Amino acid sequence: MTRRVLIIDDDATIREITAITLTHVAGYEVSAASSGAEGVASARADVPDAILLDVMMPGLDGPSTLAQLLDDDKTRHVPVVFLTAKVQPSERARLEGLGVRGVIAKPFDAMQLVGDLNRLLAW
Amino acid sequence: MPRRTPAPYASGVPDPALQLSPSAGGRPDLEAAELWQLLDDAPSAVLLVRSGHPLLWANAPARTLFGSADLALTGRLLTDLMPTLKPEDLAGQGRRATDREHVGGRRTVQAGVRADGTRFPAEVTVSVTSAAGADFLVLVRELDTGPSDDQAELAALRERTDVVFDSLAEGVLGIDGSGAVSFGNLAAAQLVQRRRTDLPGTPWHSVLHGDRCTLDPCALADPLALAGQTISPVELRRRGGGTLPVEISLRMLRGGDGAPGVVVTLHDLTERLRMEQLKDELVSTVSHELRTPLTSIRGSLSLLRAGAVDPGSEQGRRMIEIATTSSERLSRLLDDILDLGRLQAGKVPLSISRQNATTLLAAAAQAVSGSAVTGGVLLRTVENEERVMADADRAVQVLINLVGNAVKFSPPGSTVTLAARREGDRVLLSVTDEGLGIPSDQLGRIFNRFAQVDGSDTREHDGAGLGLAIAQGLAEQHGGTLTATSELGTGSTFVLSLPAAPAR
Repeated sequence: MTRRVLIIDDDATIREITAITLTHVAGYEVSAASSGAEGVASARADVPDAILLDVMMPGLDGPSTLAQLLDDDKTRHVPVVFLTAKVQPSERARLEGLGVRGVIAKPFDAMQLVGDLNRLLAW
Repeated sequence: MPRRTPAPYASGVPDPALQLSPSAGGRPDLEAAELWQLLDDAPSAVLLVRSGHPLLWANAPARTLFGSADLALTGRLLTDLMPTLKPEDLAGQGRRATDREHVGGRRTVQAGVRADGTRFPAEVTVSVTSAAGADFLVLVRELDTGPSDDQAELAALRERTDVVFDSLAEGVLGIDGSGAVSFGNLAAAQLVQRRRTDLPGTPWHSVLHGDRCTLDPCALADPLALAGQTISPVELRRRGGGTLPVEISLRMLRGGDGAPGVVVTLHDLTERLRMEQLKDELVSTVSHELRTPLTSIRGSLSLLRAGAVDPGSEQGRRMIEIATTSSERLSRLLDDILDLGRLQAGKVPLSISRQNATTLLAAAAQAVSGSAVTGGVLLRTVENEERVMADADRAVQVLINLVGNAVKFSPPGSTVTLAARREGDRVLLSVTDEGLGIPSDQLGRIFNRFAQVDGSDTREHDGAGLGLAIAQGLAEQHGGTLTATSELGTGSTFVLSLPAAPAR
């Protein structure tokens, strides 16, 4: 069965490239949301197998979006991986402590992204 | 007819229960008035002082010595007469008031100042006269100027040292071998929020961590063991509540008797830590802004390189377009960062010449027309005859930033108006939008180059927020200004004021 991944990122080109990567390279089924609120609504309506979540976003940021996902019985079990341009070790440790499967730093190589994601999700 | 000397409190000042008890100890029973007469006739200068008040009384020799006929030396303070006399010289006496062995006074050498400003060395003895320790008799004896020059110099040196000591921005505390504070300057008193006169005798650890240190044992409890070290940051528990980050340096200092002690300097780290935090946030923001287009470039090129996307396909062309526009965005960002650095250093070369205001506005409108069309925003440039003195490229750069922002924050169907008008020796180039407006609490800081720097995960707008800071810097390098007014729900107007070109 095809794995389904939800991408939540406010940057349109990053959504587009990530979606193409996961579709063409990994063969996943991908949906995308441009804000935390839209992503939470999308995940509740159609629960994905994993969520790739941007950290810095206007309105509902990554950690707040994660909190809402963890607070909902329907989405609590969905593994989340942060995608972030915040790469300082202290930031990374803070994000990893929030209850995600892992953190992938931007910029990423398309091929590397798939490998990292599969490793973090044990797919 | 006996000569009557006015009593010190005759002028309606309440009697401070002067306790000179002439009948005590088997001495002759004297009337108070006789006592005052005796004091007035005494060969030494005598001053009656109440802590924190102007002089209450001065006997005849004192009035002669200090060169004033007035009994209270015209309301002068003891410290006016003897600037080198420190409050602790009195406070120390006050604390000993109950110890009868010490109520004989303490002799020190001070510098006296006469009414005409001349100085003289003086031996000063302070004695407590009231049980509360608030009233003092101060005996002043002028020292011979000849052999006592050294003492006067010593007093003057002490005064100079105290002035230097108190003018230091860093706190300085002297700690004796028992761990008690022996002296402290003004800055130290302010840092620990204690009165300077309360510092001597207070345990060092109590000054640092208050009465209830949560660390047991506390590594800072023994200052002598820390001599030679610099420790940072140390959390200073302030008496008024809260804590203050400080750096402390401890150096060994032996007293005149050879007893070991330490001198501690306290340096307030608040500002340094704030700047470090600001720098970290700036690095984090700039890093984020650089990494975002870099992600698009790397992502799209890696898809093409791996053959995951055919370069000749529509998707392949889209990847190339994304890589191209992202590299342009990256290039603009680097230009902005370099511009900001050059502006801060005042190294942006300007080629100032006479320019047509309408031409500058039209060039900016032209540059932003693409995004205006995309956003459904109408750009209207009002023709005018004004001429300014400006570097055309840099003035247009500022206007592009203003018009670009106006378009970005304007709803579809609205108009952005570009105009210019003369005001005195200035020409005001304005960009007015019909957007949501800027809240008044944010209007004051939108030009601050760090205003958009936000270390949090929530970013309201794209971009490093350097555009307006650069625009304002460029306006100022022209000898102009950049200002903004706004009304919520109505829109904003940004005004670039430039020097008007002289008439031909």
